[in-house]
Amino acid sequence: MTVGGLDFLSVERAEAAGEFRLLARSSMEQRQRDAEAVFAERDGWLTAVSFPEETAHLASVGIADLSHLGKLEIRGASQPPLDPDVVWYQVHPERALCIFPPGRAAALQQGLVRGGAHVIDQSAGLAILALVGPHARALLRRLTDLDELPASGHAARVRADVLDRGSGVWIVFGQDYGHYLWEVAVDAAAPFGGGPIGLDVLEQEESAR
Amino acid sequence: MTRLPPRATERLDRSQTVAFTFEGRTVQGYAGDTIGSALYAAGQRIFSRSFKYHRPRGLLCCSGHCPNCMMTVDDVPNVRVCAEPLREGAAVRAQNVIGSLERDLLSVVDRVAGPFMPPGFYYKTFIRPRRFWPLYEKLLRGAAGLGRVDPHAERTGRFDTEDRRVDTLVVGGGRDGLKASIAAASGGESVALVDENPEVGGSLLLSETGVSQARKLCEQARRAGVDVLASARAIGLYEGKLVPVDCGELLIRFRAERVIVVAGTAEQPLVFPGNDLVGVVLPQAARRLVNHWAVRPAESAVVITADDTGLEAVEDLQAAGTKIVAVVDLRQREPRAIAARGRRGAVTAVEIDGQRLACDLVVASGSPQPNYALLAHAGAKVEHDPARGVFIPTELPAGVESVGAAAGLIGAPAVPAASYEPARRRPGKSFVCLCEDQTTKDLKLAINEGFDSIELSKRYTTVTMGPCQGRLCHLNSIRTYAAETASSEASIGTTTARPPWAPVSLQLLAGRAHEPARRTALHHRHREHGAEMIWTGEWRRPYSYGDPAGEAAVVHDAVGLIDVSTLGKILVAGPEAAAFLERIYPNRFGNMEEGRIRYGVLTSDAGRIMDDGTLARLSPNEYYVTTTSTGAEGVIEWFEWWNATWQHDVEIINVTSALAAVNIAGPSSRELLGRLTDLDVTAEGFRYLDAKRAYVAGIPSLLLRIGFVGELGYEVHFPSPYAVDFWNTVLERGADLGVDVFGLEAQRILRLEKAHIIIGQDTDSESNLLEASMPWILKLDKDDFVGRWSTEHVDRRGLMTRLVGFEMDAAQLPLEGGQIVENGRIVGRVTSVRRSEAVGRTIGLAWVPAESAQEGAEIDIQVDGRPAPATVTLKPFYDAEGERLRA
Amino acid sequence: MRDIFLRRRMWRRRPELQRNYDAVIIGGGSHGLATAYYLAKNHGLTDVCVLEKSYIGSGAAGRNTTIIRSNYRTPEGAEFYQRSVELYERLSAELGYNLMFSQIGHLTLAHTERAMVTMAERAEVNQLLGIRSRVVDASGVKELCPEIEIGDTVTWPIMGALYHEPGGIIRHDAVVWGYARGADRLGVEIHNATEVTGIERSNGKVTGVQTTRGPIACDTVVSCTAGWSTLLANMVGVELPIWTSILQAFVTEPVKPFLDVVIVSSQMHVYISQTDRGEFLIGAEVEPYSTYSTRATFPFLEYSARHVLELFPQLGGLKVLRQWAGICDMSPDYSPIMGVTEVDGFIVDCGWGTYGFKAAPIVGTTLAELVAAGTTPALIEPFALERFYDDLPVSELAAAAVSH
Repeated sequence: MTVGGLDFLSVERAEAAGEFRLLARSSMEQRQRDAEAVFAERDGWLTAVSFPEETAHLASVGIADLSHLGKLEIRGASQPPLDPDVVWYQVHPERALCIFPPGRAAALQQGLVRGGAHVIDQSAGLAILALVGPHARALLRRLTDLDELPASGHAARVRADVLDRGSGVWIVFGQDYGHYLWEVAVDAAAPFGGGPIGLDVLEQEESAR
Repeated sequence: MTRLPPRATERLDRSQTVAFTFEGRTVQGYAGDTIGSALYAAGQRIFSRSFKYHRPRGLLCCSGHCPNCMMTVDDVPNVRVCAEPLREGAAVRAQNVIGSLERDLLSVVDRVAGPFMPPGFYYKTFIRPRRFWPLYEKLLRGAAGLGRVDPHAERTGRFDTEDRRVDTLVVGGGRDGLKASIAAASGGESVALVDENPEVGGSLLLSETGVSQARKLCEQARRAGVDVLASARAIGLYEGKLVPVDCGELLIRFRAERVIVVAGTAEQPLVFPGNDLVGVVLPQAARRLVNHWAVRPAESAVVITADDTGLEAVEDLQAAGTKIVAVVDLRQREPRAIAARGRRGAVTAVEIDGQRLACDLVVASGSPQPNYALLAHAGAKVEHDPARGVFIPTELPAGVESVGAAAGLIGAPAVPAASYEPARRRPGKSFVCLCEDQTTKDLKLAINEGFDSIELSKRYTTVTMGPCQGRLCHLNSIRTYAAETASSEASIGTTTARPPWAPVSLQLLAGRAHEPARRTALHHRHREHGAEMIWTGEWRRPYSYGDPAGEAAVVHDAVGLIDVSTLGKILVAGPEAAAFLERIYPNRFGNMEEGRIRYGVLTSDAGRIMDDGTLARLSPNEYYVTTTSTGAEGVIEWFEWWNATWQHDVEIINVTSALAAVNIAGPSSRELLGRLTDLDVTAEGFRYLDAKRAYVAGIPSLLLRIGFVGELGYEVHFPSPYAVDFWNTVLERGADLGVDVFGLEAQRILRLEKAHIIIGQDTDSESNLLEASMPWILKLDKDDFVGRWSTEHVDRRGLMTRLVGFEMDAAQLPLEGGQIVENGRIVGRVTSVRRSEAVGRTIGLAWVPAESAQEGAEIDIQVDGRPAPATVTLKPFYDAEGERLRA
Repeated sequence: MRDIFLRRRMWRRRPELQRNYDAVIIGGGSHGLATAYYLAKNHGLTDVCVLEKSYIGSGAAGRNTTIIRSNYRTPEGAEFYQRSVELYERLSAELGYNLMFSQIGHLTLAHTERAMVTMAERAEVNQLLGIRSRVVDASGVKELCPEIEIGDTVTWPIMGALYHEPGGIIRHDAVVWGYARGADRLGVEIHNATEVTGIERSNGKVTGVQTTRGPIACDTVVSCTAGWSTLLANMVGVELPIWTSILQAFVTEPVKPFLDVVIVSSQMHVYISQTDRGEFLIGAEVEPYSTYSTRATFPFLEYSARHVLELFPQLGGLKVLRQWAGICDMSPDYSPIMGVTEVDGFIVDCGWGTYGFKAAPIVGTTLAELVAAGTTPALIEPFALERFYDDLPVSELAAAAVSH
């Protein structure tokens, strides 16, 4: 199996072929372990699926790690694909960010490249922190001055894009700050009674809406 | 006890008593009291001793703006207890006294030392003998300062920071402020209103009807959608209409399109002898004590006032049972002389034009000075209004408004005299500045000494530089100036108003103690391996795993593994990628074959070395550029900045976070790599400086065969989420080969053995390519590139210094930073040095004079203060021909 | 001591502006006044005026954080500043005015290995010049400053420091007033509220200046105008490689003595001292953008507070009273630019960035010598403007630590 082009950036192109152990991990994994998360493998990623007291957290503001989602960075003029599962943020006329369920990077990338854009798979490079619940916006105000969303700027003093997700917000940022931003967000959520939540309860919450 | 029966305006919850200690004694107050009101109700009258003279001081303003009630509360110094909410168990102590507030031994200063301590006295004394200055200074310093910081205090409490954006921010929740906020909200704007008091309503709260009016307005505002915040003090109006608001344990950074300042006025004291006695108060102090805390301030009072506030105080005092001895309304009658008399620092009588009036409270109010500070911060001008005798804001910048008294709408108060000192010279100090204990005499002295502009005088007398920052003294000092220099207040002007408007604690400003930090995906594995982690820039990296020399030996003898994920990684892609790189680097990159790598050094337009790294040509239009760990952001900015002008058709994409990178290095590295990939890793199949793409351990990877550490090795770049599994797999599969991890320190030893430079360590912001001994990087037979002219200039000028290798006896180990000395003169410095086990000598890199940059030249390096001999070498210390590297 | 009872003016009232002077010094800050003083005192030249557009000491002299030290990285810089320190040590006695120079010691903290290397280098350069600086480790820092936090609750724990014994703090206004009084008493004229609006030249030589109070003929003009240097130099057609930025500082309310050493942190871009009045005086690095506006910013307060509390957690309850900013003329190599220019008679003193105040005495003596003797003293030759044409910088910039 060869690696062509820029496939060395691609998380989903990994081929364990039974010979090697391969699991994609989030930069926030250790923080989640410290918070006693329960983990499970989903779509080739080790994900935190539940946390103690997450129901109570979610009643205020839940903090979830969505780093396993696929992300593409698009340069040049481009159009969002017509797909309800694809989140599109037009950062400015010549740059967009596209977020989607894992495993779809190659297909989406092809479609966009055909449209003439320059596309880079940033699934590995970007982490996503979701803030969900009635106090999501209040917590966001403790992290950033960005409030008319979507917007690009800083959150907790690191570069970030902040997107409005209806039930809450997503903070998209460089994964090397993952442990730091998790710590800051969980700390800032404490006065609200908020805290970490796992993917399962998040999914339930979203399907309930 | 001077506590009155319950009143409609009171803030007390008499069902809850709150106990605290004052100087170790237990005192009771009510919920809703401030520490100051509870102390006053319990009979305390002296609240502090003044800064210089240690004169007794009592409550003056009762609103947290003067220095008179500063005490230490729970080890926090300088707390203004008149505004500090009472809490159970608070430990309150006096400060700046030896003894007690009632009997301060330092008050001898007031009686004796006064004449020796005019303003600036310290400039005129203690000059000789010089060796006694430290002792004198110790005395001076010991006498200065108010509260004391506990050296063992720990950080307690939680302070958060929040950002809010609103259309309109109203500062000041009195009647005018509430109305302004309702008007703005009715217009559909998002509005917030902040007021520093625990309840919104301003002076409305001083009367029963006012209280219900305030509550109605507040309700109306809330219904209109105004976010009403009490106990929220705006501390400045900064660029971009940023208004930070101090809410105690939360700092809110408001940004608004419109800021409406309805901050009211600050009542000014009158200036007369004895005006600092305990019992001389401003009207609001009397009114608040009576109305908010149901305290009768005194038995009998004399009121002297420039406007209605004093008359309102009269009503409140009467209702509280205080006998009103006399009322002097300066609008009707201007006395020539006023002097307050006291005993043990407390007022017993006031003399007005010779008539003695016994009393234990003097309510003395001068002008209502508009609180223009926030407006001045924003850039408003400040002008004198001669009819009212105050300074008012004008020329407000766009988006900044002012309403009501803060804007200068203060009715028609009398304009008090600069001072009411009796013509007959009787003893008594007329204070202009209570914070700094400066009297009218002191100010006149300063003027006579030549400090005759308000700014010079301020610095000399320190008036307005104390805790009140001019709130209660600036106007009076200007009036004194005008009177003394026979000029107008307008011509004197004001000193610059500077934020913060009210003192704000460091802990609130600091907020939560988080600093951005970056970690590689292998961080936890390093910890598990027992790494000692260090900072390089924002990154945490393993310095070593316990034995740097041993780790280096593993790389020489077997195979080592190091995490280099912190490297900056940039994709430069597009039809003009090659042209762009040719233009921004001194190197030649346009003629690289696909799949090959070159070492690149980035130079600034001044020809200074900025950064280095490798460039791999992945395809005709794609280059993969690495940078130093701390340089990535700077290099990207540099690229983007230049291309903003050049407009080459190229994309510059930061993939630093996307990729982890691991270097597998050592004679057994080929064998190990071969176990993880189907790629042809033979010497012919994968040559030195080749770049290949292949699956390694099942992970799509980019492999760069380069040699920073000088042995056969491969730098593997792959998606960061797989780092842990990659790392573990390599360690497992290479166990029988003796694979082990190595850290930064081992890496430094290894690279030094090869004389590989580290940008920022061996070079600094002035180093150029030629003197750094890298002439081969520079390609002059190409078009212009950044730094060309300067580098050519260096060539023409001639090299003055050179970066070279040196070696010396292993018994000697100079410091990095050690100096190279020739005939007692400093001629160079050591930038890197290590003892190398592989080489058996002390080796290093150093900048030496160009004439010493010869193979075998002798130089002297300072070791422990003495010159030690070393030999210059221009070749790597280990594997000089690079055979091991190119195996 | 008896001066306390003498009610004597520090300086004469502003006289009429004469139509000509031997030398005109533009800028009534510490450098301008020192130069005037030494011209009169060391060289007997008194037909000199100092033109100050606002009030003396209103610029950098009145805004700086009063640190005096000579622990510089380059031999040229270290020697230069050391001479200044020595002059400062004698200056109170010489001027008969207590400048309150407290040589309480100066610690430049190092939080990384790189910083420790830089400190080692500075220590060596200093020691070779006889300046009392040495490197101390973390426990050494703690001994010298028991209040400081050296543990690992600090984000970047202290590894050690450059300890500079003769370093300390001084009362900046007193330096200005002391020199002003000294110069005035020797016959120099000080003109406040007098702004220079133009500089006349002909045939490549200075012939006079234009001011808001009329013209002056002279053939020597010395510009000691710090952040405004480029504007002055433009008047006479001299180009300076300067960019202008601001430096911020703040004071806290006064408390009893707590800190008796000057602390500078290279990592945290913050420096802290406690004045004789008991206030903490805290400053930072130059802002990374160019501006002439001296408006203070809020983020400065926030990040300084955050970093101060890392080093001194006890100070959490201490309150900020006042913040301000001053403009700094930054040179390419963070060393000053002193001496003659291509216009005969126009002498510059600029590029002082964030480190000018500590050099006032040595600047005054050397510039006075240059004006009086017409030759550039050897000590300041390395700081010639020409060095930028020949690419021979005196690079203090290359040092990793905070640049003042």
